[in-house]
Amino acid sequence: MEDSQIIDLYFRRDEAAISETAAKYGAFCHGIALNVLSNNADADECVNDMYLRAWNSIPPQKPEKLGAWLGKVARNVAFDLWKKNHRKKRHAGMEQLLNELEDCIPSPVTVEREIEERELTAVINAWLASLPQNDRILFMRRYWYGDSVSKLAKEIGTTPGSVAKRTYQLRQKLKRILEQEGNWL
Amino acid sequence: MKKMEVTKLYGCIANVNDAFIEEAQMVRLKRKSPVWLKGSVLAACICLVIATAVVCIFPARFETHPDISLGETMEPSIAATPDAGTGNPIASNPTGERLEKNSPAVVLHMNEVFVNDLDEMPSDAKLWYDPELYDHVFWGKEEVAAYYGKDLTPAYVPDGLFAAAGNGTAQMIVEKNGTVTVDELYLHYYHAYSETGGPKLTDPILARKGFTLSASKIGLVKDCFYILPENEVKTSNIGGIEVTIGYRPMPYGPYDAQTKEPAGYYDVYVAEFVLDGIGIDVTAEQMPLEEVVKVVASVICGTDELELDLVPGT
Repeated sequence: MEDSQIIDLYFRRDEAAISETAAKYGAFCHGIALNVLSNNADADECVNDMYLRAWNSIPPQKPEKLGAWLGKVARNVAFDLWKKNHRKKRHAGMEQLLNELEDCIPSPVTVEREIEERELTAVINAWLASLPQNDRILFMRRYWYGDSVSKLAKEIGTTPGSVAKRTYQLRQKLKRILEQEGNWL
Repeated sequence: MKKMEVTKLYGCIANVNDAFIEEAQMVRLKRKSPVWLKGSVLAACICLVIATAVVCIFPARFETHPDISLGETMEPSIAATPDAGTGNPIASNPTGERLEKNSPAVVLHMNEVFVNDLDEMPSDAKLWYDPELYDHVFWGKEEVAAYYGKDLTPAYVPDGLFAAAGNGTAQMIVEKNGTVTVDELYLHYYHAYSETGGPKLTDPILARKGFTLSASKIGLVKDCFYILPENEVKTSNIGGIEVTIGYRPMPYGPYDAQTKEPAGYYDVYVAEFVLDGIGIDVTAEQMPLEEVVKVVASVICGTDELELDLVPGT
């Protein structure tokens, strides 16, 4: 089914939207979540959560590129779950104390921070656009999709060391851009 | 704090333009031609062009009288001087074949050596391998030699440097099913060693003096990072082998408490190349470039009969 047809189903509040989404993008989103979480059950949970978020967000949203939009949602849900799991795994001692003290810090979700993050995303977008296509795809595949270095090396036909070197160079380039743009981090 | 910053960056990367997400999903990464293939094709083309040009332009040189510029101990086929700036081998060996030990001297044209600025040195940190999955296996000299199929000991070692006690042996990391996962061989040559076997630091420059040759058939885990993009990094042709040489001035302490400036800098050169399918890198500290090139040439050409040509165009 075409993306526009799936989106129409969402707009009509037809539950077939979920099954059509699952059929077309379920495996894709599961792969993204799995790369973040390294756990099949957690990845399944993320994908289910993603369907719910898609159901609640469309409408009013109308994604232009449904696959990329769903991928983003899956990635964000997976990242949230990763953070939650990570917090759970912390044990007693300093980590525990710091964890508790984090409650004293005001909520980081502020308008100011949101604007800052939007601007940072714009800088990253401009930088990605300036890269040669292969470098851009390599960066996205590694840091957006979370593909392993060895998988990428196999695809390119080179050594993992060479991929690691190239991604390091890309990270250094991004670092320089971020520094030029005014100490974002 | 750093973790929070990384988290923030990761979150921002999540929200990049949908077009980039889609592109990365739809478009496959371009496959690289194997380096040896590119190198071989390029070398073959260059050899053909040069050979044709030389024969056409200087037919007289191919008559039987000897070339007096080569010196008596050198065979013309080995010591033919390349034209400057053409990318010809700096260690003149037009056949591209390794020389047998005791061959006549190899001339190293230093004006053909390219040095790239190093951005960062590879980390010495070792990966941890789960002992439940991997074994650390000690290999003696014979096993190492059999695995690599050759003796990688440099034929030339600068005066004042000495081989470390364990040279020629290696600690391999092998999967339980017998597959070799890490096959790095290290040969150390430093000016002095401590009682524990590690290289001693010099005084007043608090750094090691000498070099380590690392080799791996699988692919060296450590890899240098150059300031230039990978496709702009220049290589030097030494004895028919493309060698990437990097340089970095390395700071040493003590550091000024106020300015944080180091006491000074010393030279670090790294030469990386592939020889008969073996990835090799030579990391040299406090050594002049000429000595580094001689060490590399001695590994490639298998001889310590090396002569430096420091004058451009001769």
